Amino acid sequence: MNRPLHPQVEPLARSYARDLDEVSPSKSLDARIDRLVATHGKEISTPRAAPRTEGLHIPRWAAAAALALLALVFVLGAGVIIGMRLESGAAERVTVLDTSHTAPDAAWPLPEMSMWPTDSVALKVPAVYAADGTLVAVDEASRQTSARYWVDVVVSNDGTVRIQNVVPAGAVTPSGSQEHAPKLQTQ
Amino acid sequence: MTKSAERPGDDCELVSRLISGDSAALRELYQRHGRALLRFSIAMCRSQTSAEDLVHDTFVAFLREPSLFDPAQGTVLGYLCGVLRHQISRHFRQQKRWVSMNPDDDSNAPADERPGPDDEIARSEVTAAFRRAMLELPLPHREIIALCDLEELPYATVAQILHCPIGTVRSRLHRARALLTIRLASLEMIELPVGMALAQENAT
Repeated sequence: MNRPLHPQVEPLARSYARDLDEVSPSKSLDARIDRLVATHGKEISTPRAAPRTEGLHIPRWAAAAALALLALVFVLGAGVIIGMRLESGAAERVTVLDTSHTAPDAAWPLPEMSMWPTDSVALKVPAVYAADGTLVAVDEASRQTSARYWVDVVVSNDGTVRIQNVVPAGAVTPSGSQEHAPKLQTQ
Repeated sequence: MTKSAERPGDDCELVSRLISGDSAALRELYQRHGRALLRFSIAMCRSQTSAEDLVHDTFVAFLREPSLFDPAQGTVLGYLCGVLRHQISRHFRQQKRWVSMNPDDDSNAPADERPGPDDEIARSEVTAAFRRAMLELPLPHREIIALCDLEELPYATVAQILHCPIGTVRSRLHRARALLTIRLASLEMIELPVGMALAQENAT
């Protein structure tokens, strides 16, 4: 059994308890409790919101997985788009290079003058017979009186040179006109 | 002997009505136990306004979850006192968060942190001094004197409220009474022989 209150303390406690007992709730507290009861009653009488469908109850792990999947798709899509852009950029650069490489240049010989892609070049070179019996190329503008000949020379891409034909300068070409200047022909 | 009207059967019926949605049952519970809860709350707080706020919060909490009350574990009043005790504890924890910018100025301090009671609870100087001595006790000692000596609740009910064994209630009450006696002696409201005062101090 507990020791009771000290004999001098007990009357003080009783007196204080009496004072407390005389305290009554204020009108404010009564009104608040009444308001609480009334408000709660209204809440009960009003229909509750429709319960959420089961499909909306998404577990956290499922939501996290969906978000991760979305992020993965986004990253892959961005990668594909970036790759496509890089690819198209490279193609444009290649096109530009090709165009610049194949663009016609006035300072460059015409395609028919080029060694490429022809196999050989045919030249008509004016020549005269020297005293030792050999043909010697001469300048077209020189006024030598000895008989001239057109020498058809074919220079192949492999570096070989061959004389194809020797025609006297006065002879008529198959086309019917006289040739006065060396000509280049590609084959 | 308890001061509040203990009618366990009726109280349980009121709680059943409350659970089924009859909020008018709360008003009846308030009329039965509101005064007892307010007495306990005033004994714990310096301000009657704060005490009434806490009683209101107790009924709000009970209205939200009336099904948490288990008749097998005790009475409705005991359950409501337990809820109120939690509200009081939370109230004092929140009060501690407020600090005055001026350490010499107590006017801005919360009502429950001021040196003396600012209400008109005590009707005489003697009871006012007793109330001051009560309010200077630590909360665990204050609440057990309020429940056992002022409300005169049985130990079993107090044990239910405090969620502790009856033996703990007894020992805690013993220490609380000793502290209160010493405090009243220091206020010269009672006279203690020197030897007894020392014995009481050793008991604490």
